[in-house]
Amino acid sequence: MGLEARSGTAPLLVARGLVRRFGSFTAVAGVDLELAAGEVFGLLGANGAGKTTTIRMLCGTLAPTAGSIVLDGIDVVRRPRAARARLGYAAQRFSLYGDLTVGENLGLYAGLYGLRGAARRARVRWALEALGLAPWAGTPAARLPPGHRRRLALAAAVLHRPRVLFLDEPTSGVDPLARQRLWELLYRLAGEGAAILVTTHHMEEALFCDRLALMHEGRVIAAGAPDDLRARVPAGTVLELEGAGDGGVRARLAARPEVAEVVPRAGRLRVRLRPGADPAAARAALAPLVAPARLVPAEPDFEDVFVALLAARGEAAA
Amino acid sequence: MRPAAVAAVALKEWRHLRRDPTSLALLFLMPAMLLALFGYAIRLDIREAPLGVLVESPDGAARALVADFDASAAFRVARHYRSRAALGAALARGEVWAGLVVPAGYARALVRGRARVQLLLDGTDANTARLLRNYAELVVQRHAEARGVAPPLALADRLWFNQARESRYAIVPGVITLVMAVVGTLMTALAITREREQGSLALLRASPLRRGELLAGKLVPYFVIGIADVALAAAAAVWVFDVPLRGSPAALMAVSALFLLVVMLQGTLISLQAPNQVMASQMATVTSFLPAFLLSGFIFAIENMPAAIRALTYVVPARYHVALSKAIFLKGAGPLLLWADVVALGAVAAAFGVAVWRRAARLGLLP
Amino acid sequence: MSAAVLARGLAAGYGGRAVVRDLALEVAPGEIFGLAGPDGAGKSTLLRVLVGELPPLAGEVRVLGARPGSPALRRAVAYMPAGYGLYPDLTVAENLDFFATLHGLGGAGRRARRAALLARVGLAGVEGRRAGALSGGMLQKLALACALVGAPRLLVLDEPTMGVDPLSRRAFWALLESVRGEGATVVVATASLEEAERCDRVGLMREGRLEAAGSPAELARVPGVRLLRVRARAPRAAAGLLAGIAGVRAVFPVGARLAVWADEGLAPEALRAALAARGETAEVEPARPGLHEAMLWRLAAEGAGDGP
Repeated sequence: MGLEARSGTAPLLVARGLVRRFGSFTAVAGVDLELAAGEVFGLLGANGAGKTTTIRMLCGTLAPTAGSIVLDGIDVVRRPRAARARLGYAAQRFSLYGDLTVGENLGLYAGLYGLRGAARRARVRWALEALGLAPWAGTPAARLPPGHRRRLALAAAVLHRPRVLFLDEPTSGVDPLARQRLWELLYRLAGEGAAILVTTHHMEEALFCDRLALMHEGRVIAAGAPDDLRARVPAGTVLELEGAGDGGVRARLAARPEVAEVVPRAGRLRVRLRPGADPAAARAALAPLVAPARLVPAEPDFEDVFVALLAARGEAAA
Repeated sequence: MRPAAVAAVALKEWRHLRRDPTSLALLFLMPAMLLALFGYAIRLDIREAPLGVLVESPDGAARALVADFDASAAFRVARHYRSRAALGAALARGEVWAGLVVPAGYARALVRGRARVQLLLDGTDANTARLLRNYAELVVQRHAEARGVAPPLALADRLWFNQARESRYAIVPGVITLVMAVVGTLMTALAITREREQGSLALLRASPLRRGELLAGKLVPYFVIGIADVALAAAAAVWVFDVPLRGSPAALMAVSALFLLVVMLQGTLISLQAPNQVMASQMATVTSFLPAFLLSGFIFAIENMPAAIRALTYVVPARYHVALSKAIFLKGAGPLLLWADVVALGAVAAAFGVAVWRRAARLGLLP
Repeated sequence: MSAAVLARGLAAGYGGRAVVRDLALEVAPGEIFGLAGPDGAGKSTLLRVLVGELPPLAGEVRVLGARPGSPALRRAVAYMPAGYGLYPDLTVAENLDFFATLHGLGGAGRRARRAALLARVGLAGVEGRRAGALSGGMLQKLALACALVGAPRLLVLDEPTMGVDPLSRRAFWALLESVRGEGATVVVATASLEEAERCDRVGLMREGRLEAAGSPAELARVPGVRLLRVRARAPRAAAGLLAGIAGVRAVFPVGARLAVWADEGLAPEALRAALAARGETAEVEPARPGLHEAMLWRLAAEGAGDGP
């Protein structure tokens, strides 16, 4: 179901049957993942779905209760330290030193990865340039804008040219431009051959990924390319109001039993039908309520995908 | 102040406590531990205690006295020293439990019947010191009788550290003070800091809760626990450690309630000041345990302290409660007889109360 | 009717340092007003001023016609801070009862209110569960129930749906709509511009200031340019080609597609032809910008954020 890495390339990361329990609580309940070079892979889900626990296991900082992880040929579970040299990890919380400058932080991390002398200077200079941090080199990290702080964390994670890069919520709380630039950076790093795994709880960000997995309560409920996943929303269950409706149209639609919700989106009203509603019958029933405007099928977003998948599991009925 | 709101805060506080077994256990185990530590660590019988000896002019008479000490069941001569300083240092290190100084001219003084030898004791363990002194007196007396020296050879002792010569009788009532100071301050020091750390203070600020309701609600459950601790400690003093309670139990509980209020207000003040729980518990320990241990007259007699430190003890509330607790336990005094200490405690309580009330204004709750 | 929230020349911050500066804001009664902006823009600070948790450094603020934090407002204004601030070791019922008592409810009235609220937010049946053991979505519902316990006229929410699953988010917004339907005003902060579109009006915050306020449709309108969506065989190579085409103003790769901002006059067919002339066959279709797209364009157009 789309869990396999892109065809034609050997996967850089293969995880099988990952399970992690904390006492009686199961944070991750059997996750399989494959990641190829050049690929940006997203792990989407709400807080508590198991994203961070999964990423920490993949990085070798948390031992799985069960399952296997092979990263660039190295068994991460048995040899986490050897794997560490081939992976980069930027945690959700900013974990660099706020009182050191951007340049000092990067110099420190380059040193921690064993880079010395000219090689270290060259690599730090590369990172400053590549991530657009050069004008900020002398600024204490604590005084960076949030978006640039994420970039610095990313820079520190790529200094040692890792084959696989793990980023936990790299775009949370940044402005739209910073978010866009961060994704473009990831595309560039992937273009240079890295495999990148990103977690996010913003459903809208799914479209940025080459492939993604939707996590819910410790499990992957679906995985694949964004368009493949959108195709799993039953056709015609997401509608948009085309043409001018009067002021009361939103309330009239929302009051109908077959309508789950009506929300404004990009200047139009978006109507989501309740899971299980018959799209054709619903459209016919709703048409007189909106005339002279029309309800037309719309491209579902990832909230719709998520809700449809949960409905298929029988969880959205409640 | 709305009683229902106070009750709601108190109930909530009690639930926090009940669901956190470690802190609940701490509130009852810590007093038991302190009592056991200070009550049981006191020795009842001594054999072959190591004795350091300084003979300033060696002669037959001095040697005979030292030999009698060595021959006694209680002592054995561990080592001879050449100076008082060396002997004192050995005592401080615990190499010897007591020091015997036979002064120059001892033999001549003995003939004239005015001989005195000195005994140095480590007073940190008051009970041991007292026992050693009794044994030494016995040895000296027998020695004098055997020589037919009259009037008998005298023993001048000097107690190091615990100059008040306190023993279990006097220490256990003081432990009650210590228990209250530590438990009372620590419990309340965390009460408001926790709300701040959890983020719940933001919700309380935006609610109709008033400052007085929060403070009263926080103090009530801890006051009840503190009083229970006092009662348990007093009961243990009487029935486990056989310390006589000569005064009235009601008087003891009354002055303890006043002292409990003082330490709880002190803890609340810390809670209003400290940025996090770790800091709060450190501040509570430093400002309650240390003064209550060192400056209250609990072990170290206040009258023997240097004047500057003695002056400092007047601002240590524990000092007044130690005095009251000892007087009620051992002398059977009523609190009215000790009105000055009661008034002093009341004054500290009022001062802390005002400080808490003012500082709490910054919480941002309704006045 | 006078404004539910009115601020003029407002400055607020911590330790004398202003996080919010020279801010003017007006929220009409009965509307759902969204405060959108990145972390550090001053959203939370502004909300804390509105609920009376933080005294302003300068300027004028009126909430429901009164000074924030005044006794009457503590009953009329409810607050749901980021992270919710509930007691994790207390149960659902105990948390709710506690806040109900602070609002002067007791006995049968409190029990009735608890039952009604828990039923309304969908937590009936889990009264005895500890708040700390709830899922993110359930905890969020409990926090809303606690906020509603005093029947507030103004509800102030700080990133209430951060990190909750889409189903819980939908349920939450449906509840907000129903609260508003009863006449309450809602001010809600969010870091997500997609979510902000659900509000009647939105204030865009940046670096402590309110940059713009209006309906999502107004704010998403960008004169003089249009948004086109391009799906190419090799999207990352196509980005370079697009940048060289006349009339193309900005190109943003989004996964397998490209969001292209172009002069209003550039038709989709013309762009497709221009790409074809450069050897790239692509689908080009017009797209309607939402708040997020419009904001992205504005930030890029002014060249924001690339230097200290």
